[in-house]
Amino acid sequence: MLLIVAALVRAQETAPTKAPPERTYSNAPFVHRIVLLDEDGTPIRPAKPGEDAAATASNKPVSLAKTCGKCHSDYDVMSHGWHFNASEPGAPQGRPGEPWILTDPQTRTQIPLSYRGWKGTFQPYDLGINDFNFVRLFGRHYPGGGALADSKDLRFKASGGLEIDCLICHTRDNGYDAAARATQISTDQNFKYGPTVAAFLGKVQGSAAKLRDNFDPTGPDARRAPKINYDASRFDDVGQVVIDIVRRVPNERCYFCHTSIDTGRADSKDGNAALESRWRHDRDVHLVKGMLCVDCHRNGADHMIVRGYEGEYEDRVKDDERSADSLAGKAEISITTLSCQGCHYGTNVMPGGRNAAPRPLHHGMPPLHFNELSCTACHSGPKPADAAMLVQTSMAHKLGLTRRETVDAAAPTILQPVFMRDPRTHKLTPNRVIFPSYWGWMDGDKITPMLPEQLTAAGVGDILGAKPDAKTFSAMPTALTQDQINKVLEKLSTAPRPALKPADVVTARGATTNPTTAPSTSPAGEPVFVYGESLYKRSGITPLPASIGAPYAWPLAHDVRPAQQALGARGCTECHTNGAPIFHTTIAAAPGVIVDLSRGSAAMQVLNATYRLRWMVIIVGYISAAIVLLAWLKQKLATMGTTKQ
Amino acid sequence: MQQGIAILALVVAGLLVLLDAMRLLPRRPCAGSAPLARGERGLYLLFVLTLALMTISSTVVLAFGAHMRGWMLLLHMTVAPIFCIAIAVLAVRWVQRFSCLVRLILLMSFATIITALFMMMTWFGTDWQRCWMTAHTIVSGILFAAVALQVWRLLFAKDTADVASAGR
Repeated sequence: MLLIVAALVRAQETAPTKAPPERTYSNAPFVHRIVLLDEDGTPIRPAKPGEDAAATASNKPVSLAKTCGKCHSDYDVMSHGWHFNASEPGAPQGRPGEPWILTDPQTRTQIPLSYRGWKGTFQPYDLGINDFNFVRLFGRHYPGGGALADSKDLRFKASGGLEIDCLICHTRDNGYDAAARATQISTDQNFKYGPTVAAFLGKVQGSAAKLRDNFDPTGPDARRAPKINYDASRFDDVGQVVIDIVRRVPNERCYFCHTSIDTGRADSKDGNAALESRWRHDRDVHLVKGMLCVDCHRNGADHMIVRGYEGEYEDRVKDDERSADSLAGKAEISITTLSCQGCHYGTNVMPGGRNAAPRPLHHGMPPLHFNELSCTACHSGPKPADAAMLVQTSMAHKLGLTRRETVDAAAPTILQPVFMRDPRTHKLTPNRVIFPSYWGWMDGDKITPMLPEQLTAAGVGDILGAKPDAKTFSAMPTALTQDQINKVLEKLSTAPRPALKPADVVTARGATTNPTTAPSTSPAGEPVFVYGESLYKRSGITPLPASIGAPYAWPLAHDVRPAQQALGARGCTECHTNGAPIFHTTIAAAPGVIVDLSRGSAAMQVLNATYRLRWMVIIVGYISAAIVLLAWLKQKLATMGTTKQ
Repeated sequence: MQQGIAILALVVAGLLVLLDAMRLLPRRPCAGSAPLARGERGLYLLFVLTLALMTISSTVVLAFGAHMRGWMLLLHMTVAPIFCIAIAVLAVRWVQRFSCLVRLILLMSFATIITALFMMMTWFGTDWQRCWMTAHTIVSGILFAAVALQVWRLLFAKDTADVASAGR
C-alpha cells in the first residue's frame, strides 16, 4: 500500500504541467492557421487528389475541445462559462432568463425548461427529457458543453457528445453555417459532426438517427456510423487550415441565437404580415451607433459573459462565496459599469461613460422615477400598448432556420412587454412572458408534465385535432372545449402508461438539480390539463394553485430605443393617465384566454386620475412662492432700515 | 444621503426644542409680536397641520430608509398646495412681524416651494433634478426644525417674554 501511495505521489510530482495558454495580447486578431485535431488528438489531414491517404490520417470529425484546447490550454476554465454551464451541478442561476420551450401545438403544450432551476421553469429531467433528447430538441441553438457533452445517455454513443462549439460564436465571416449545424443535430443526430459540417471543412455521409439504440462505436456496427469526407482544398500542404476567428464576436453571430422579432397583436389575423414588416424595425440604438453586443456583454477567459443587469455583481459575489471553486469566476467590480445605469451614470466607485456613453439628461423627470422604474421600462422593447404583443425568438421559434410556412402567432406564445416589479430591485421592469400549458399528472400540489409523445401514445390524437406538419410553424390552435378536455383526461386515466425505452431513460447523476432516480414509467396522481391560469380536472376547473405558479417571466432589455422614442418622451401623460399601458395591459395568454394585468396601485390610479390638475398645483405654488418671497423681502428691507436708524 | 438629511432634520428639531426648554437659546423680543388673531390662529393651525403631514409623508419616510411612493407621495402632493396657500396668507399677515424665526420660516418656505416646483419643470436634467431634490430635503428640514421651535414656544412658553419672542 505504501509503495502504491509513494508511486502516486511521485507520478504527481513528475507529471508534466500544462503549458499556459498561448496569447498574443494584441488588439490585432491572430490569424488562426491551425492543425485540426479529432477527439483522440490525432491530426486531420485529408489526402490531396492523387495523394495516398496517410495510414495515420484521421477520418473522424473535428474536436474543437482538442483543436482549440491545444493552444487555449485554459479550455477547462472557458468551458464553465454562462453559455455552457447550465447543466452543471451548482452552476450559478443569475437573474431568470429565456427558457427553452418544449412546444407542441397539437397538444397545446408549451413548457418552459431550464437546467438552472429558475422558478417557474421545469428541469428537463423531471419531464423525462434526458440530455440526449434535450440536445435533439434544442441543440440547434445550444453551443454545447456541460452534461450535453459528457452525458452517458445511451444514444450519445451513436451521436457523439455536443462539445462546446467555439466556432459558432468566434467565426467572423460567413464561414460558419449554423443552420447546417442545426440540421446535423436535430435531423441527423450527428451531434459531434456539426461543427465540421458548419465550418465547411467537410461533408457527412450517414445519419446517427438511423443507428440502433444499442450501437457500439467499437463493435462491428461501427462501419454504419456517419462518415466524413473532408474538403481537401481547405488544407494547405502541411495540413493546416485557416479559419477566420476573432475574440470580439460579431453581432451577427450573437443574433443566430438571440434574435427576437415583434410579431404584433395576438388577435391579429394577418398571417405573417408582422414578420414580413421587419424591414420597418430599427435596430438597437447601441448597434446603430456602431457598438458590438460584446462591448457590453463582455467576458474574460472564464466566458462568464456579463449579462448587464443591476445586481449582477452582487450575484457573482454570492456565487463566489457559495462555492470555493465557483463556476462564476472571480467577481469583478468593473462589471457594475456594464449595466445601463452603471455605464451611463457611473457607480459610487467607478465613473460611467464607457464606450463614450452619454450622460442622459432626462429633462423634467423627477428623480423618484429612477427608484421606481428600470431603465428598460422606458427604453427597451416595443412601446407598450393596450395589449401585450407577440414576440418570436431564436431559441423558441427556431429563427435562423429556413421555413416556408409560418405565421406571426407561431407557437409558443410569448408576449411582451409585460410590466412587473423586479423582485431584486423592486423596480417596474418590462418582461417577456409565457403561460405554461401542458397535460400532466397531479399528485398533491405537484404536477409532472406529460411529454406530447406520451399523449400520442395514449391515443388522444383524434380528440385534439390534426397534428400540424413538422415543417410548418403554426400557431396554437383554438382552445379545446370542455368536452374535448374531459375526453382526453378520461382516456389518459384509463390508458396504459407507455414503457420507457432504455434510450430515453434519464440517468441520475447525483446532482442537486437532478432527480435522484429515473422518473417512473407510471407517474402517480390524476391526469390534469394546465391552460392559461386554469387547472382542468375531471372533476371541473379550478384556478391554478399558487404553488404551481404561472406565468414564467423574464426581463427584456433589447432592442433599446433612443431618447426620442422612449416612453414618456412625449409627456408625462404617456404613463400618468388611467389605463396607460405601462400599468394596464391585457394579455392573450393562449387562444381563448385573456388575462387582465393591472400593475398600478390604487395610489397610482388616484395620482393618474388627478394628474391633469397638476398645472393648478404649479400655478398655486409659484404664486405662493412669490408672495412669501415678497413678504420676506419687505421684512428684510424694513429690518435693514431699523438697523440703520 | 436623503436618509441622513431626514434624520438630521428630525434630530435638530428635537434638539432645538430641548435647548429652548432649557433656556439655552436666545429669545430677543421683537417688533410686531402681538398675539395671533382669531382668524390667524386657524390659518396657523392649517399651516402647522399641512407641514406635519408633509413631514410625515417625506422626512419620516426617508428617515426610515424608504422611498416616497404610493399613498405617502400622494398625501405629500395633495397637501402641498394647501401648505402653499397657508404660508402665503400667513406671510402677508406677518409682514409687520420682525422676528428672526419668522424670517427664517418665510425664507425656508419659499425655498421649499421653489425647489419642489423646479422638480416639476422640464427645464432641468437629471443632475439638476437631484440637486433640487437634495436642496428640497435640506431646506424643508430646516423649515420643519424652525416651525417645531416656533410651535413649542407658542404652546409651552408661558411667560410674557417667551410669548413675545415666540417668533410669530
